Amino acid sequence: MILDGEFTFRADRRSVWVLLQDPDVLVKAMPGAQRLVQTGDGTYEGHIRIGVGPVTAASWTLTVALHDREEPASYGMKVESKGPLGFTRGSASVELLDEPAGTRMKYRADMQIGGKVAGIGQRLLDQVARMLTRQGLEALSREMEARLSLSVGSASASVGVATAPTLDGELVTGGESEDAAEANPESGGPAGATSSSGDDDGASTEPEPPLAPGMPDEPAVVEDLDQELPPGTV
Amino acid sequence: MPSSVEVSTTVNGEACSRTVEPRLLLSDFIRHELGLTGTHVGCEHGVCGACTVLLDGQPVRSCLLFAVQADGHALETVEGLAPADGPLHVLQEAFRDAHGLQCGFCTPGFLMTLVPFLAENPAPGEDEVRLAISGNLCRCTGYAKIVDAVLLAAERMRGAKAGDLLSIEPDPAPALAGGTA
Amino acid sequence: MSGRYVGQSVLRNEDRRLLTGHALFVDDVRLEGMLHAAFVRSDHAHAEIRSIDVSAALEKPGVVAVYTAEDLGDYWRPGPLLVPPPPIEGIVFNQATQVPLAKGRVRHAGEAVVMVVAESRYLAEDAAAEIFVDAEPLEAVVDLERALEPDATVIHPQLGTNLAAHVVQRHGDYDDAKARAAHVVTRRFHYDRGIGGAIENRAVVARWDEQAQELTVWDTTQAPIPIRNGLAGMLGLMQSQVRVIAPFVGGGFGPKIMMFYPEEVLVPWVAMQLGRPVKWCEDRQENFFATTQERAQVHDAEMAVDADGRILGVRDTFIHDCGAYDPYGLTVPINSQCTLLGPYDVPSYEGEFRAVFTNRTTVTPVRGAGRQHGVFVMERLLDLAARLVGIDAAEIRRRNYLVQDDFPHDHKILFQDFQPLVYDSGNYRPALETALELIGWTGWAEEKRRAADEGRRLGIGVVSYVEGTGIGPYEGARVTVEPNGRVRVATGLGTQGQGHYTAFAQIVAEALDVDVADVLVTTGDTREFNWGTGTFASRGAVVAGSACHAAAQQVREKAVGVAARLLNVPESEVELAAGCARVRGEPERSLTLGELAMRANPLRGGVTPGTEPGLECTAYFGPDRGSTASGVHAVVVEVDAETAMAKFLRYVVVHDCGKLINPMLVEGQVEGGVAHGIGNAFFEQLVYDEQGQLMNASFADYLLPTSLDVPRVGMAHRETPAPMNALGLKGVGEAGCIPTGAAFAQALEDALDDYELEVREIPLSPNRLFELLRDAPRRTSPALSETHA
Repeated sequence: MILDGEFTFRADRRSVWVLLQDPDVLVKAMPGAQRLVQTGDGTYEGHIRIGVGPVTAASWTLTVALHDREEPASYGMKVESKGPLGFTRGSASVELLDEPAGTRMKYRADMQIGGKVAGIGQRLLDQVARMLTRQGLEALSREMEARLSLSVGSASASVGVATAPTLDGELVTGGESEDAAEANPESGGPAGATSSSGDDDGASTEPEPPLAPGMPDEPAVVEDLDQELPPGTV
Repeated sequence: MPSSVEVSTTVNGEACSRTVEPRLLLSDFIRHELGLTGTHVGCEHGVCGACTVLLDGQPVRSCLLFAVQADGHALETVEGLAPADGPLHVLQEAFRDAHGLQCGFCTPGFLMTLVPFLAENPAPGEDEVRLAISGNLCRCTGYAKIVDAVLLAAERMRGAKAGDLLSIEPDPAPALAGGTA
Repeated sequence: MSGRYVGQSVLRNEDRRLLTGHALFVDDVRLEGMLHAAFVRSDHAHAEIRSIDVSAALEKPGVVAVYTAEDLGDYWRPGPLLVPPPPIEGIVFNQATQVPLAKGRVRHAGEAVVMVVAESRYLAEDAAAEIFVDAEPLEAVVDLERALEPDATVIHPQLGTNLAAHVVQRHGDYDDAKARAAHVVTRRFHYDRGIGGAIENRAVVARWDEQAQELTVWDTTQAPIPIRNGLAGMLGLMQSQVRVIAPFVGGGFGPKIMMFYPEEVLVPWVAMQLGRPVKWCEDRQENFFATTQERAQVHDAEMAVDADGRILGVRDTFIHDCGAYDPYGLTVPINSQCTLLGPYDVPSYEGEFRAVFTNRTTVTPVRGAGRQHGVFVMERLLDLAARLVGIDAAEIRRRNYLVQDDFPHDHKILFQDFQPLVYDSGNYRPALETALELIGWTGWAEEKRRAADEGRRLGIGVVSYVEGTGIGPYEGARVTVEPNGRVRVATGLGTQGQGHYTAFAQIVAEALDVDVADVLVTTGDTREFNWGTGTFASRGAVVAGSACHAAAQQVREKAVGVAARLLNVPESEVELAAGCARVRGEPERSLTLGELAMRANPLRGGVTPGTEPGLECTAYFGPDRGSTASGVHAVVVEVDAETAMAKFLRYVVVHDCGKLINPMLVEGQVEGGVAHGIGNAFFEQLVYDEQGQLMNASFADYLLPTSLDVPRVGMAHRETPAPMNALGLKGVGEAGCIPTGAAFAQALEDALDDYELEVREIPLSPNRLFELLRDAPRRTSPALSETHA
């Protein structure tokens, strides 16, 4: 499965580079992430809790290894996760570009998925992967903002500005923007609007943006995912 | 979550009460707790329909329900259609007469789907019958004789004489209107 | 045969139990103290196992034992080769059979790695979820041609190659035929995988009785006797200590004739180890991985014809996908190779195949067992040749059929029963003409035009095939008249819905002149009958039925003999009627069969030396070769060119399966087969990715045809009796599904004849058809197929 797209962070490139490799930032950003520690230079290990459609949420081990790092412009990533429901393995490439609005990240991931989840979750995998990616990037963005104490302009109503392609201001990846919108009725509308429109005090260090998924050890994560998935699955 | 829950239901008219794990599937409850093995499990993901039973008179996939969801409700299984040694239900009789079963594994699911269908549709046509059973998979029969059985049962239930049986010969002449032969 | 029962649509004896939910299927078996097994299966299609950590599983509540390959000790060994390679000259065959639990390497996704035994299935699965198998993935071999490349990863290192077999069979001289040909059609054809799809999954229950030193195994197998024999050998027991029961089985279709599945050999062993009964019941998702499938093949085929469309020769080279192991030998590809010849006169034939191992579930026969591949190739070649020659699909077949004088027809190649492929009998042209009439062939152009005026696209197809059935080695039957006058019949094979309990009763009732309802048939219990090979290859009714007939005839003779003695008349004066033996012309002088049975079994006194007690006989039927059935299928489909949805509107089967024991049962078999064939043509396809992961392992994504997808089947039977058995029987179990793909392909091309579309692959899902249509150029001139009458 190929997953590619773009996302713009409202932060300078150097900061984005650093924060993208900070496990404390990442663990808050990854939906279902329960634990992520750095085990070496550019390597990480952790646990993530995910379910897909009819496949009940379970705990997966996760290992990530960064390579070919060219600070602050690009790096590659090898990701592996294993759980009772199967495994995923893949590689991704990340490119960071300086922009007036901030930093534009271009990513491309090639994932192989196997085991139970591949056999019965197939129709959902694409959507779920894109949704998780989107949620993760938005959460990452919010976390970054919080850390960098940027103020959030209520006019834009989004902390991350998607540059391509979008639907109603919401970031989607690859194709099938309708699926993404349908798949995420809860946060509906412009990306992050529900979480940020109330956050006029962007400079606050409030650690928990309201309604943001991706909080560690929060079983609500799994339920959110289940809610957001389209009905009519097996 | 409690480790066990009491479930009180009536099954084929008889009250029964059991203590079960919350996650016990209704199909497993019926088959293994109650020992009513006439209800069969073919897929456990709600597609094949072999596990169909009636919950308060409505057909449901027992593999997609938990036993605890039946608490306070009435269950009917295939064993309730006819006593072991007694006369067969009209629908069962029709299945036998029309050769509507081969291995018989999917049959209880069909029967339980059809009992409420026929109660609400005493004079269905072939297309309606096919639609009514489109949620039950059969690998043995190709469905034609199942449809025959349903039409036969409907006719008998309406009190028609044996000699008025609907013709079940397929019409070999081309029939453009209506699509199916 | 008076035909009082045989040839009649007698209602089934077994239906009551099935309809009331009181029939015993394996998962219904409940034993005191029974434990439940669950398996940890490989996520990877190809991997080296580095370590397995079961420690957490052992701590879970209710877990009694956990086994890996190491824990099996000496019991761990690859399964037996069930079907040795046929004695074909120059054959290359490499054996690699399945193992009970993966040791060192896993070779297909879903291969069993660890077995967990616990107080309930739920607890066993809880524990299984805690087991960590550390596996290093290897390159998965999935593409058939890639498997043979020199740098491909070798799935069985000890073999040094992924080649499982190489077989060449030929007669005549194809190169010469090609040189003389007016037209040569060359194409590549693809046939992809499907499952058996029985609604009942597999299950095994085993109980070891320590006091009696007896093992009882309930198994959803199509071959209880071979299973008993194999298990006895593996477990170090006498065959008489093992009883295998295949009770009611919810559909076989082939995968349940695969023997010595991992679970089948493990459950009995574990039951003996733990001293408690053990049950394993497969769930549907496991079924997609752990139960055998078939049938991927890639064919490069060519046909040489003369200017009139007569076949001069055929050459077919194909690669066959064995999956990870090849315990069933070459049955499937040999069937393909042989069945390709069809009902046609093929003066020269060169058939070559390579079977390869791949990292996918093992392939063994599934209804049709490879015949449909050969038929698809031949029928497609004929259709393409017909266009070149300028005749229609029916005409090219007419011109090539074998005629009555050609029988017995020896093709001079070997069939799956290791015998020369000889067609014993057949009469093909009348079947074709009947089919054409039933489907509306002569008025077709008009019907198609009228439909087109309404904006509908219809297409028609007609195809023909020959099916080898009723092969050996043998089956047996014992017929016993009991003192109460009822008759007991026991045979060794199993029943999965074919109606044996009724068909065999009919045969025996006919011979003894008793009521069918008074004949009780037992199948599938090794305690009841000791010898047999199983239900497969459309042979049950033919072979076991013939044995029933022979045994019943012998009982009849015995009864007449005993009656003659007791009634003091010559044997020629005794007749059997209505359950009695009586003197011809003096019906009041009679004895019931029950009385005869009792009188023939004295408790005291002397007997005439050489006589046997009671009214019982056992007989075996072992044909030296099978009997050839044949048929013609015709179909009308409607296609929506925009959505690529196809609907089967009309389906006709004209079938020659020899004498019919019970026409109703035969219709049921054909209708079911057609539904299966329709599934394999348009709805069903196992989709694997390049890593050997199965992507549609559920009925939500693997589509079995529903009542909305299968039309009624118009049927006509022709009876060309088989000379090989007394009743003239031929098999019919697979007939419905063999040529369906070919018929569908021809009809699709007809419906879409304004596209340059050739259907060279099966199954053809709507998605795939959509792609093909999108890429197919539109015709500017009328299709040659419009030479249609």
